[in-house]
Amino acid sequence: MSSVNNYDAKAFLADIFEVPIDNIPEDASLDTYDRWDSLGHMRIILHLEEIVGSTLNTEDMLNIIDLTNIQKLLNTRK
Amino acid sequence: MQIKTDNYTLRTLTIEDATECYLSWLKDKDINRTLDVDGQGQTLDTIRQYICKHDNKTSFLFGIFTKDGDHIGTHSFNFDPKNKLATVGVMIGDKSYWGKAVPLETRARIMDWAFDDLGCNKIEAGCYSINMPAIYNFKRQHWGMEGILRQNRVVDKEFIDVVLFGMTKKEWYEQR
Repeated sequence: MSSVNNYDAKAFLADIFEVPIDNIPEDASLDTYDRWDSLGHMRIILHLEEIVGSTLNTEDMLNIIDLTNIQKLLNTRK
Repeated sequence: MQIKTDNYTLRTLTIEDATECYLSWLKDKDINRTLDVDGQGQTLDTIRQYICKHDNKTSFLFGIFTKDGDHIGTHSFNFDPKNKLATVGVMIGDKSYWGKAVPLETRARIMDWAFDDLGCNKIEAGCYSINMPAIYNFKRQHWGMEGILRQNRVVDKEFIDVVLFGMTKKEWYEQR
């Protein structure tokens, strides 16, 4: 993944799902975004752990459900 | 007994369903690392014993079968009639069905049966914190997170948490 995308949640998801960034809805969540399936969820968590440099604790991992929460986590690394 | 979904049939297993294929799932490290099972210690006999432990009155072991009759996984279901409380588990052994939302479809139908027909009031389940696809499925199905059992299991020499989920009849009916 290119480092320029590491801290923007929409760009992060676009990389994960290999789609143009405009394809990611503003309210993308595991409930609403049809590409966000169980295997995609695993890729999201694993790549987030690469970015933050450590295994997510269980509470943080359970919160990874939508764009907003992904951005909150990425912001901790800015 | 049998429960049908759009794409699958859930049928209670018999000892004839203890196959080499089923055994291979339990011995597969990709599968058994997030299950409470000693994969390497399993044999066809241990599977038969496990199947026979389920009385099909309060304890059920459903096989998940495709419309072509291929066995791809299992659901365990145990019911406490006094407290109207059940526990459900799932294993998708055929990895070609991973990522295809099988548990979302099959567990939903089990919950319909449990709440509509069995008189269940609440269903509990859990998974290892490292089982991200399982957590996705619980979240996607809007199970309530009931607790985290910290450092409750050892996987690959690391302590990991177990996450507990619950769904009441009222909660299921509100979203159904």
